[in-house]
This record gives sequence, structure tokens and C-alpha cells, in this order.
Amino acid sequence: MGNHSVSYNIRQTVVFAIALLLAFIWLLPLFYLLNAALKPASEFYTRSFFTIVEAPTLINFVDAWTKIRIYYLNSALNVLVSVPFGIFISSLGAYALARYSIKGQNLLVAYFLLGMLLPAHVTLLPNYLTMKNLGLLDTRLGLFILYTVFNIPFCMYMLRAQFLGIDRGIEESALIDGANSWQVYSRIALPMVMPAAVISGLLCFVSVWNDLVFAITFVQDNMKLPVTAGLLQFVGEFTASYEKITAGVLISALPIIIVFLLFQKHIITGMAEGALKG
Amino acid sequence: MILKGNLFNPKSRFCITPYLFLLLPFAAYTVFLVYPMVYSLFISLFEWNGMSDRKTFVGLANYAYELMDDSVFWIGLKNNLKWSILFLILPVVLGLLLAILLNSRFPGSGVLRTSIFLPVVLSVTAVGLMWRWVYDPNVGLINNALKWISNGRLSFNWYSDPGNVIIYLILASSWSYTGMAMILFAAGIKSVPSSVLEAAILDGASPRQRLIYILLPQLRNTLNVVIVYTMTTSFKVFDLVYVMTGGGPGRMTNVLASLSYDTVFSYFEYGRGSAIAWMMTLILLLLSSVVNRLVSMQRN
Repeated sequence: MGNHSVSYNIRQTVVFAIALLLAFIWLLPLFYLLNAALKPASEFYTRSFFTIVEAPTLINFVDAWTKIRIYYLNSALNVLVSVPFGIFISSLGAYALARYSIKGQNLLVAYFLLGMLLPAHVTLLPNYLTMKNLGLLDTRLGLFILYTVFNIPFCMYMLRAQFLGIDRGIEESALIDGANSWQVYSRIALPMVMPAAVISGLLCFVSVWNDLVFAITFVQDNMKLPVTAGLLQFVGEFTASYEKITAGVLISALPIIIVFLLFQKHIITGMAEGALKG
Repeated sequence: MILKGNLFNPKSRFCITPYLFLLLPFAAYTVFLVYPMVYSLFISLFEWNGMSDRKTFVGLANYAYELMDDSVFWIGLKNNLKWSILFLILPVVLGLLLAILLNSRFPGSGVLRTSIFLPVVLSVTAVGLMWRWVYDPNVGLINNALKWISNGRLSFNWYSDPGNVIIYLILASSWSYTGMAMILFAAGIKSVPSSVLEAAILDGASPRQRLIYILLPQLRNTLNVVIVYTMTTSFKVFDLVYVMTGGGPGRMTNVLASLSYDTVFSYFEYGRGSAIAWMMTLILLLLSSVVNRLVSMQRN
């Protein structure tokens, strides 16, 4: 018996080691980057790029941070404004389509799914012209609007499914007790789908933080660029300072990595659902 | 009072409440998402250089020009097709294998799943810069590793053959797409009723038999979805090309999205750029409907 459990433990350990090794190989590009970012310039340029860092330093991160801080702030603003607002207006539409019977309901549901099916690329030029006419090129407001709108199809889909899934008995008794439709929505229905709203918000956070194409199309002002587009500016400026660029890349990805590690299960489920719908 | 009761009473035929709820999302979505799509189709029928307001109606001439006279259009289309095919071969197969492997829990399975999926949520900017860094002939991981292994005899330069650069872009992209394919298959595997698998175990089917005869046939729907999603994704590719090569060397790594983008925002050919974007959309819709048709034909 003792022998059996020892060999069982050994096998478990071997399996674990192999899994870790595979994971390490998969993330090797990331570790190579981290290794470079930790090297002081002296070590970086005198020795082979391939060697493992000997005297790790955070100086590259500090230098990169002072350069991309402003872009970081812009990305954070984009997320903080457009994600909650996008969830809110999506929940309004989702509630109407889940709770009321209206003419052409199925058509409307399909209409809102269109945005997930067709490539956003088709909209770039017309939206550029619209933004130009509205004087919203190169403004934060322009990006807020676009990020909000382009998250509507996904959020509405997720939230409508949630509203359909909860029992409407409480809402109906509240209506009988004299609450109006807005109170029923805001005080009863919305709080009940809050967990799903938060998960949708996480996915919107990822998509807004990671956006590149809207940023480069609608913003030219260096001071208003989000971190993805700002990073490319930073690369252009420091083509030779590889050790600083690598640190910049890692800093730009940090919020996403943290959010992902904290809410992995929800993010994976949500992404699979979104893709299966599209 | 009676009027109010009618308009806001959910039981009434004239209830306007749902329309009030729908107003804001419907208006925003229509103005910034649906209208631009329609307007883009309209622009594609005009010659318009973007400098003035003057548009000249040319019918389908922009489409004809791209198909007959623009060699870059065909480079882009071929690259999108290469992207689809390589995606179906590499990350999709790898994703399926990983989904099967990670369906059972074992020590380290969580770490492995997290690592494979992490690149999916990283921004394409970060992924692109990272892989430029892996491929770089001076500081890059691959070249330095080769030199180290071979004592300096072997070397690697991803730009040495311009025709192959697109392959390196697709490989970099496969790194982040594998995790996506994996979770789509994992969702499919989870939806296979466990009673079916348990019955197979009782009947004495080996793990390999269960995989080939039970699990894979049950995954047919999932496979359909994954193929369509993969092709759609490969035809929408833009960011990675923009970050890693900008369409170069020459114009060899253009895809339809990057060509459309350059045509509009660098060459100010609004009509042609819109025509390219719409052809990309039409090809994407056509391919997905062909795949769906093939799968349903096979089922009958």
C-alpha cells in the first residue's frame, strides 16, 4: 500500500512537472521579454541578449512608465466612462426586449446582433466622416461614444439572456403594488442581473483597453492616445532602446493580466459565449 | 390619468414603455454602427478622393478595378486565405487536443489552461511587439537561440524571404488564437451529455474508442462553429499586420482589412477603400454560409 502511494505520488509529480514545462514553453515569449526588461542597459548591450539577467533592475520600468503614464491615464478614462455607460444602455434595451412583447421583437433582436456578425472595419470611414462633422475627431468624447456603441451588441445579448432567466413574479407584484416601470427596472430587475452585468463589463474592459484601430483612426493628438497606440509611438521614439520598449509592453499588459488572473473563469465563459453567438 | 394608464401600462395595447427603454440603445447603435455600414456600401459605388465633397457615381467600377487591376487586392485576399487555412491547421487542431487533454483534471492542468489562454486577452499591440522581439535578427529569441545551439553557424532572419513574412505573422497570431479555439472546444465537450460517456464506459470502451466514436461525432456542431468563427476571425485581421509589418516588405503582408485601411486613410481613395471593405465582408459571409451548408449536407 505504502509502495503504491509512493509511485502514485511520483507519477503525480511527473505529470505536474510536464504541465509546468509546457506552460513555460508556451509563455516563453513573455518570459524572454521580462528577462530583457529586467536587464540594466550595461548588461543588455555588453553581453548576449540571450543570457539570463544577472543584476535585475526596475529602472527600465520606471523610465517606460514616465513615458507612457499619460497613455495609461487615457486608457483608464476610456474604460471608466464607456464600460459602465455601455452596460447601462445595453441593459435598457435588453430589459425592453426581454420583458415586453412588442411588434417585430425577433427582428429587433436580430438587428442588434448584426454588429457582432459584420466586421467593424466597414464602419471606419463613415464614422470618421460623422465624427468630423460633429467636431468629435481627436476628442475623448468621440472615443467614449464609439467604445460604448460597439459593446452594445455583446452586452445586450448577454443581459437579455439574464433577464429572460429570472423569474418575473417579483416584478409583477411590484407593479401591482404601484411601482412604475422605471422603478421596477432600476430597483428590482437590474440588481438581479448585476453579476452578469459585471462579467459583461469585464469583457468590455478587455476589448476597450486592447483597442487599437479606433484609437489610430479617430485620434491624432498624442496626448489623447490610449496605451496601445501610445506604445507604438513610444516604440518609434526609442527604436534602439529595446530594454525600455520591453518594459513598456509589459506595463501596458499588466491591468489585463491582473484582471484575467482574478476573473479567469468568468472571462473564459463570457468569451466562449460571445464567440458562439457571433 | 386614463391616458397615462394606457401608455405606461404593460397590459395596454398602446404601452410605450418598451420603446422608451429601447430609445437610447437603438439610436446610438443605429447612428454609429448600422448607418455607417449602409453608408459605406453607398460610398463604394462612387469615385471620391476625400479632398472635396464631389462624388462621382461609378456603379460597380471600384469593385471591378480591385478584382481586375489591383494586384495588392489579390495579395491581400490570398493572405487572408492563408491565414484561414493555417489557423484551421495549427491553432484549431492544437486547441482541440488541449481541450480534450484539459477535460480531465490533473496536477498542473489549471496552470496549463491559464497559460494557454493568457495570450488571448493580451492586446494585439503587445502580442505584435512581443513577436517582433522574438523574430528580430539582432535581439530576437529565435536567432539567438539558434546561434547558441549551433555555435554561431545557424541564423534566422524573418525578413530574408519577403514571401514568407506573412507566415511568421500567422504563427504569431496562432499563439494567441490557440487559447480561443481551446475554450470553444472545451465548451462543446462540456455539453456532451455525461450519460452517453458513462454508457460507453460501462460497455467497456477504451479512452481512445470513447474519443473517436463518442466524443468527436458529438462535437460536430462545435466543429462547425469553430471553423466558421476561425475563418471570420482570419478575414477580420488588421491589428497584428499594422503593428508587426505595416503591410511590408513591399506590400507583401497586406490583408484585405489593412489594404482597405490604407486605401482610405493613406491614399484617400474613399470609394475603392469602401469597396474592398465590403468585398471582405461579402467573402466572409459567403465562406461561413458555404461551411454551414456543407456541414448540414453531411448530416443528411
